Amino acid sequence: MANNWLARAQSLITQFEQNPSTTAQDRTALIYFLEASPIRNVNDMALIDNVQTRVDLAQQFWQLTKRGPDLGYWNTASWSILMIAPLEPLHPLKNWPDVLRIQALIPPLMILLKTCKLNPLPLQPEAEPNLSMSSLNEAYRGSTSNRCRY
Amino acid sequence: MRRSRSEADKVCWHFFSLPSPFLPRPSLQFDRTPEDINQSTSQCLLRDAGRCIITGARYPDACHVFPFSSLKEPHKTSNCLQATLFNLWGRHREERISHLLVGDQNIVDTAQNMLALSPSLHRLWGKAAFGLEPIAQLDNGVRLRFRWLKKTGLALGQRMPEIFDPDELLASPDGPGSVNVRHLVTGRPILDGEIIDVTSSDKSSRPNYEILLLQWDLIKMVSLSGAAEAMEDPSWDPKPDDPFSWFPVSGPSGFGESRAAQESPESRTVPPEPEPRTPSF
Repeated sequence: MANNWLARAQSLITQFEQNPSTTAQDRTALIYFLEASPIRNVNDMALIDNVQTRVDLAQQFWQLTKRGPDLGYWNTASWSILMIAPLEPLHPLKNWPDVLRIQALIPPLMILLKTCKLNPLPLQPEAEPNLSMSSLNEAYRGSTSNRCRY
Repeated sequence: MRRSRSEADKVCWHFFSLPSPFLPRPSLQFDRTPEDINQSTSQCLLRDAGRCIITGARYPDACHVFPFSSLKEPHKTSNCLQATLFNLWGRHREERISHLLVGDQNIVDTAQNMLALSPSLHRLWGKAAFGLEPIAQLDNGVRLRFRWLKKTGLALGQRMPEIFDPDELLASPDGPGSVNVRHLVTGRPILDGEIIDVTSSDKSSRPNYEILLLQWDLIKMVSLSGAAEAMEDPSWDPKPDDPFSWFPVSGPSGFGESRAAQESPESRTVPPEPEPRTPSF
């Protein structure tokens, strides 16, 4: 499998090099691409932690909401809270007051999101910041900021 | 305008027992001068070397991590922030974050709450297409992980199907066009999991880790709940007194239906069976 992949990559690079349209800029672009190393850090990539515990909580929540119309119903907002919030305040989910406790958190959360309009477009300054290109280049050479690690 | 202000004042007084955002209020950072804007923006851009921290694009926006618009309605933001943080994340985290985001000493409009992002990435961030997961505090900054966010395809407040496993519900969002992002120097696609360090020798310029953690949790909730789409609907008006008011009144397909379903007595007493949904991986 690995050999097949390598053979294919070598073949493509040969074709790239032999193509009369290939320019020095194209070669530089390929080198940049390979130098950036396509290896990613893929450890601990779960968007949601303790998934099974949260799935169990969600099932309990859903069962409880079926008991009465005044408990609201199983919806995307309550689901997002059960999937993301820390587990401790979500426990226990045994009776209807527990469901109401979770449902009551939805309005302030939604008002917060609405009020803040998560990351709206920026307030533009009337003039461009007074930063010279040389000062920015100096900052770029001097720091490890904005360099992706692949 | 006068009437809406009066109503807003009444709502604020009644439900929050706080001054209305329309009433004259003490000094507010929202009323900042161009010099103030330039100073904080410059500090951010200088730290990030005038380039988007993810794509390397020149001429980036200095983007607020916790939205600058929160300063428009400080009392409302403060109330909702405290209620949400206190109940979900506990008193200690609420105390740590509240003083950073509300009050006279807030750092909302400083480089500590800003990241340099290209305009297109800024827009995608606002749509919760991706999030920045803080994974480590460095000696001189923070380490972030770029995460493409998946969605349920359901509108905010829509009844959920009887599927509980996020792996079965979440999928890359459908729609026309592409949200493909590439690093502008290497040409490499920006994939889920890219790690980015944002550092500075100046302590006052380093991004605040607590605010980044809050941003990460909130943007995941926005993505999972469908709130990103609802926020684009101007008629969406969640109210503190109405537990069902977080449903958009109208707007894109599905919003009106969910509101109607919510208000219908039949639907509340006899929940309809959710439509089967095929996971689209």
